[in-house]
Amino acid sequence: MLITLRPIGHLKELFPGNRERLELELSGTWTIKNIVTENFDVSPDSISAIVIKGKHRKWDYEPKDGDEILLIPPLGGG
Amino acid sequence: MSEDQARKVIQTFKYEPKRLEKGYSDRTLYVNLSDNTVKAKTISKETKDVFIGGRGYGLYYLWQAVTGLTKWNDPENEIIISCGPIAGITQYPGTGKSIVVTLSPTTGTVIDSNVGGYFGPFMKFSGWDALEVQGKAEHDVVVYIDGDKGVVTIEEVPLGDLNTHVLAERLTDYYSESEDDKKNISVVSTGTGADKSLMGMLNFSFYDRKRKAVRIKQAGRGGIGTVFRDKNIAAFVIKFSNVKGDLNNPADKKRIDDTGIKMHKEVASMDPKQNNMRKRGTTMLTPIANDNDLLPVFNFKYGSHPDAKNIETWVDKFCHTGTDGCWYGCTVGCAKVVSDFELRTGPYKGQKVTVDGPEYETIGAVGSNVGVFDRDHILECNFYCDTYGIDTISFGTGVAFIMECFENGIINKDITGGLELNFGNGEAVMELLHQIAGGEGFGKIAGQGIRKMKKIFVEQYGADPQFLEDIGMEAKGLEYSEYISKESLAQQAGYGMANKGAQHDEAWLIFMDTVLKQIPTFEDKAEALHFFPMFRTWFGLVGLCKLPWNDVVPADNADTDEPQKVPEHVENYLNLYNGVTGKEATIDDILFESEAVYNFQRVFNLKMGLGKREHDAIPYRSVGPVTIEEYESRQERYDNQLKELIGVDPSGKSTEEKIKIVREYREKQYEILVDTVYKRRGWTDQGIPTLDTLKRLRVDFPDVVGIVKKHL
Repeated sequence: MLITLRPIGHLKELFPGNRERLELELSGTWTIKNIVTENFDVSPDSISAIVIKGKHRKWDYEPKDGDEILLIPPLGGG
Repeated sequence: MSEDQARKVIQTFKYEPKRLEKGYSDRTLYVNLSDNTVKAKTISKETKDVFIGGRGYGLYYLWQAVTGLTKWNDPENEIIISCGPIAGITQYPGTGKSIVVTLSPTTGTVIDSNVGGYFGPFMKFSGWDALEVQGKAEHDVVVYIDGDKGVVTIEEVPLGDLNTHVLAERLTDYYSESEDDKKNISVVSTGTGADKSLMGMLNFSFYDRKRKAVRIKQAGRGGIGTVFRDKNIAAFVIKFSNVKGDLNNPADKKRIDDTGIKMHKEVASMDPKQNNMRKRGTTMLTPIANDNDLLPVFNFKYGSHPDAKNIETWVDKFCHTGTDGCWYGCTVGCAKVVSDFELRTGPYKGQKVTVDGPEYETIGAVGSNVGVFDRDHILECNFYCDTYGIDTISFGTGVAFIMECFENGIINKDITGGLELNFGNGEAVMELLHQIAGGEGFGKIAGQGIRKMKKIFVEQYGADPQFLEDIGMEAKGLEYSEYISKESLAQQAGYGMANKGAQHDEAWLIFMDTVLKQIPTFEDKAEALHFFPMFRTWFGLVGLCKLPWNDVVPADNADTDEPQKVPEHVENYLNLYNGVTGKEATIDDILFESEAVYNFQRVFNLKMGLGKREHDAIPYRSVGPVTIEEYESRQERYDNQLKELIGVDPSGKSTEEKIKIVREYREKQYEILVDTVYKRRGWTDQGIPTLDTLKRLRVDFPDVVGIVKKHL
């Protein structure tokens, strides 16, 4: 399956190339947690929330082909 | 003559310092500067149950003091400072906040502004749940509260320069008995900018022992400093020694201790991996805003700029010696400071000074919004706004408006006295700031704020009133804070419907709305515009800073059902509230408490001549593209919206035609959302709380009902 990770704000600095979108071709079943921790050296502690198609998902959610996974840092806006 | 001989005590009031019980003394201090009355007032249980503290107490007292005809510069207007029951505990981050309330010179209605620093908690520990100051002194006075000895005085002392960086240091020295004693002093002061403009703010000090410097936080919005100077107040000063973690005499100290320990561990381990507030402060928002088209550029025309990268990084500028909390026990410590900054302009040119900041809002206001992407300019502007007592947000947003008017030929160098106020001209920005503070030249006009400037530019310089309405970024008379709301309908309402005017502290929904797309329907947005303003209002009732709520989160936050609310922190706050007060409040209880105060404030607006649907109107620049260049800067986005949302084919249409179609659509969307929010809040379609709503919230006092009935 093809999924896209979108680290929001400064989270992109944690991923290779400081990119806003990272496309991953994955086979088998993956949870979001496994995608983030096994493909990248990123701590889940940095991520406050995960959103797919406007819905919050938890770390054990298994994304589907084509999903865009938004990784959100803590953000209160002052 | 020695300084003590020059000190003239006009009034002395002695009182018994009172032990707090569960966060309250149930007593407030009233000072009238016209007749030098100083007395204690008691707070009834009924008042406390409804108004809680902080903003609630401020609103309660101001309501009694003014009629619907009172103006900001009438002696009846008051300045009230109150913090709330949780304020002053030292076990949890962000527990030193006060709210300051008055009638604003630019809106004509009540403004509430939150501020850190030590004055609020010291005032509480000195035995006062609020300080209420009315009347006007004949000459500049200091109101001094000696919380150790139980004495309040109105006095004249040798003052000299009234600008804060001089005065607050001078008064900290004057009222302390030793270097070690300075930490027990807090000064509330402003500067000459508050004398000469309507955008004056208040600085609340604390003494930084590591850096041996007086530090300041601001009650920035709404012109409270201007009211302060109109009353001929030079400063409020308080002394309180022996701060301890249990001075609130909480009902359950262990509950607070345990919650605090857990949170301190979380901040220590999580913040470095998350926003790194302890190193970056609120400057961390700058790259996030720029990346997501939210950073105001050239009077809110655009949301990003290639040069914004020059003003994103500040860690190398900050002095990192010491902790940077604005009250004891704040491990988030986001009150950053630049030390030994050499000033290049103005009356203190050549001096090396301490700059408190910058915060994100200042970077946006006096940096990107005016097109000056230079860190030293931002620091210089930050310093002078602070010492002059001028709100950086109203100043920056105001200058951005002026610049667009200048570039459109509405005003010119003859009018500005030679100042070339083009976007990007940092020298002109600084010169204008000095003029505002001195009440000179074009500064006399610029210092009046956008609403009055619009009127002047139309009446005296023949400006197109509709264009100025579109680009003048103010709502209810208060200048917009520094976020682009064009692409977030929810945030447009967050700004437009805020009780005090265009400040984002009621709701910051931009991300939820446009990036995360979590509130797609009108009902979703209205629900967010209920929960977030009500929860955020609560912080100002009890003495809390909002930043530790959601700028740092626990490790498992993403695994909760509503991560945007940070449920574990909500639980923490309930533990603090119940631990201090002995209540067993739930989240619904505290939302109810906030909703009551919020609706009372809405009726207060009604009392002062605002408070209806027409007053929730917003400038079109906050809703969509006003000019051709704005539309064409994001042509693909807007053309797609024409096709997908509005069902109109953009091909063959001129940009002006497309702007008109998008405008009609977006303005209608705003009105539909306003209808939905009013319904959710239990208000009429004119935005007036119904009698049923007032009764449900227990704010159906006879005079409140009397005001509302006139408009139903």
